[in-house]
Amino acid sequence: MTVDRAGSRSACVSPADRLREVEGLDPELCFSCRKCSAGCPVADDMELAPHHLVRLVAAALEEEALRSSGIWLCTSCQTCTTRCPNGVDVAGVMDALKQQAAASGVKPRDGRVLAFYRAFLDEVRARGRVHEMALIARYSLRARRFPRDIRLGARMVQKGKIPLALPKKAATGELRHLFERAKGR
Amino acid sequence: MTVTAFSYYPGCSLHGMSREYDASTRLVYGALGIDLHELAGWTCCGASAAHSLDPALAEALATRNLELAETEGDYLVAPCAACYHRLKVAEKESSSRVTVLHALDVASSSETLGRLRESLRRPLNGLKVVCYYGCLLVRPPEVTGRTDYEDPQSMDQVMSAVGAEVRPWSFKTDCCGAGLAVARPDVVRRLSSRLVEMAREAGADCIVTACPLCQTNLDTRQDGAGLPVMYFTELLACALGLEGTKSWWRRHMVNPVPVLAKAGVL
Repeated sequence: MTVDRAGSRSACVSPADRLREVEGLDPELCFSCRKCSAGCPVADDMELAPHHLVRLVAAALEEEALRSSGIWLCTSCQTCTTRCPNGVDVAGVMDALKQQAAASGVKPRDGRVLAFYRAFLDEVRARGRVHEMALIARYSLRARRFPRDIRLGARMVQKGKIPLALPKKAATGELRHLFERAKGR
Repeated sequence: MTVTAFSYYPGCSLHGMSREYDASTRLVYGALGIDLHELAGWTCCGASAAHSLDPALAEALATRNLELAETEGDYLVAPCAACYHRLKVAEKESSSRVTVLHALDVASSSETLGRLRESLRRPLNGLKVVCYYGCLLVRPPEVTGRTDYEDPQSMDQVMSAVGAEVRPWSFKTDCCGAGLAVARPDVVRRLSSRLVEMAREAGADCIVTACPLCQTNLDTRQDGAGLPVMYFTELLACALGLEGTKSWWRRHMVNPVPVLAKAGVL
């Protein structure tokens, strides 16, 4: 497989190549011991478990992995990365897949988590810091649905756990530049 | 560690739904003679959203805060496990001269443990706790530098120092579901319920946490007679007999007052 050094951070480079180049980790080191999937808290909810996804990336068949809703269930708990006997950064593979799926516009079967991440970054960009109520509003708009636990949210507001008052914005001008620069890299 | 002044990165949650973690951290560290100075102009670390969607943005968001911290001193303390993790990754990647610490690192140093024992007013004798560390405080060891990542001890040491009975359990570092809380509450409910169930089976009166996401996920996903979930700093404030704890308890979904009263620490 050829590696495009100059474009190693761009979305057109495959996750396997990028992992090898940028992270210095090689998914081909996986020998399918399945330790990653055994310790994964959400493996049961995924149609393709972490070891399957790593194997797909190693075999340059990541198209299937990119469409998998399982990548969006990964909580980045780092158990897989920590326990891999061959030093494969499995959570890093998951991130690379999420990044490529998001950048290439592959529509996930379940778009809720992607909508949440996008809403989160919208909020960071707009305010510098995340305000929970504003985040929920942004998520509802992006996902075109109210969060399922809306009653719990109401109780949290009632108890004063979630504050309603908007905090002051922080360094938003600087962050706008930072977001633009990151986009260009 | 003989350092007694640190830059402090509260992170978004400690200014939002986890204000009692912020308040208790400031109160307790102040009482122990440890000066936490909030980093002026701090911004969000990027959390899971940034590293899941854009690695360059994730690095830039976290590094910006380290650069601010470099002008203030050598250490940056974060009480949120997720912020700590993102800042720690940036510390490694940018070869920053600032060392990122979690609030527990400061609390579990031998000097602080000594000060805790000296300042103890109401020992938590009779309070059975399980210590819940979650994921990002300890994993992966390449980032956190910890060797006891499968069975961490720092919170156990802190809680033992103030007299609590720390119950053994095997779920110290199992995931609560973290940032999936809004988009996939079904997954979070399943993971968090199991942790609460296992804590109860271990004989605990309450769960002690060191992360706003862990606390919120465990505290808000319980039905029926619940098990209180508290920040380690809230319990330290009780043990040190500090004033001002009252307003914290009513913001918890599972009321911790009965358990604390029974243990005689309120």
